[in-house]
Amino acid sequence: METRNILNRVRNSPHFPRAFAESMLFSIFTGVLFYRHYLGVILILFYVAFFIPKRIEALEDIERAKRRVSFLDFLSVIKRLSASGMAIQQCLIEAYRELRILYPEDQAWIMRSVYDLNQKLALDPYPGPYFMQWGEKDQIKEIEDFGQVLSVVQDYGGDMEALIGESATMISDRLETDNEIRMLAASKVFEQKVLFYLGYVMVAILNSVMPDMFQVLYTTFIGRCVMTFSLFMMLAGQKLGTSLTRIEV
Amino acid sequence: MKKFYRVGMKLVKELKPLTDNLSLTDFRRRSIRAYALEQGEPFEYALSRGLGLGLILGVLVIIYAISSKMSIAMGAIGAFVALFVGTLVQFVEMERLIKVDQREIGIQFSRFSSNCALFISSGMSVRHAFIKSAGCLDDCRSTRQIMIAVKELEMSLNTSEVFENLNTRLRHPMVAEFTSVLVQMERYGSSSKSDLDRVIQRAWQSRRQIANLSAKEMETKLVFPSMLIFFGVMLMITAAMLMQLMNM
Repeated sequence: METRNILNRVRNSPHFPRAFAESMLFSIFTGVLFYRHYLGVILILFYVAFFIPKRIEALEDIERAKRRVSFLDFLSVIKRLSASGMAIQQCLIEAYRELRILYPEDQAWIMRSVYDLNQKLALDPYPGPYFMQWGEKDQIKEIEDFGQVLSVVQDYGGDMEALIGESATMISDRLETDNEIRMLAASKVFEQKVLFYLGYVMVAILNSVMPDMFQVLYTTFIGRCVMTFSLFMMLAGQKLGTSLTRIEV
Repeated sequence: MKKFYRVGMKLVKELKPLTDNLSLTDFRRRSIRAYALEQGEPFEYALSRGLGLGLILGVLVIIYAISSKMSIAMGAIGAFVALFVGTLVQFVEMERLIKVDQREIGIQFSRFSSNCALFISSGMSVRHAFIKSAGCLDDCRSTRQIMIAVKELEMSLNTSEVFENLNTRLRHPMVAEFTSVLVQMERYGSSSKSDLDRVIQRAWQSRRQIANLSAKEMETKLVFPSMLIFFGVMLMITAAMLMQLMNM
């Protein structure tokens, strides 16, 4: 069931072509550099099966961070509009026009999403559930939370302006912490990336300068074992580093 | 499993003086006992892990004692020490589990509490606000305790009793403070609103601290993958050189 879910997510992801192309390039390059044999390339291709979902996840994370910033812009616009005394439905309609200044392209994620939201609002004037659907679809917790609070406040009454302000503060706090963490880890992450690619660069340089030196690693059984083991160590280091840099904010 | 659990419970009661003598703070000591007695899952896991390790070590020591013709008394002492190490491991494991749980609660609770406060400010009763805001929680072991409290509230149990039970189960200072403010709000109206805001602010601050702490720890932890990559590269180059030398 879990595997099927992952496969469906991978297949439906808009990042799939990019992740697939990157992983294919990576596997071919690694196979050629570390084994100099088509069997090596085939062997590394198995790694692609694990690499693609992870790569898609990483690309989605980057996309999600950008979307959070756009949503924050959207909330700030709504906050300003609601301060002028408008109803939330009117605020959402007006927000589309105001956001055009920040996002001139119609195809921008926030513009498309707000447009869809307004279309739905024309049918039913309660925006809470739509926000929750939107958050669920794009997997952004903040939008889901905002939708939940919005629907409760609409049912029971309350200070809408304060609510929007609170949500905006919450999201900006989270983004700030996220950025702080990225900054703290930036040097180590870069160092690790350099070390990882240094292995490739060194093999490539030594291969071109002293082709005889590495010949023994490609032709003998022990040499192939050494190459496999060192590749495994490098990939394990890379994977461990990626898992360590994931911190929930 | 039940039998195993019962034996484990007995053992924890017996080892109570030992845990009291460990250099832990009073709060942690109570946490360990709370987890051991109230939450079977981490306790069983830690117990099986610790005692399993102790048992393996003990058997290995006995085998070594027999094979090297040592006296039986020495072997027995060795096995006892190994078992003792295993028992200590389970407490260390429990400590780790508690730490993970407390961290998880710290992260989840900030969102939960601010949603709860928003609902209360929109005019909802404390009970309803608590039930409604549980929707934002992710499903994990620590948040399940909050869900139990929600179910209890839905069953119309006494609010203060429910919150008291929740505190006993979670043993998190932030939760304790938040729930005590909620109980006061229910008893005396919304006069404690500023207290609630203060608690929420602290919850967000603590969440930020947790994230910063993890980031600082990560900085050091990232040395290990870098070393792994470095050794991989070095192995490749030295192996090539050595093999060339051997062929010469």
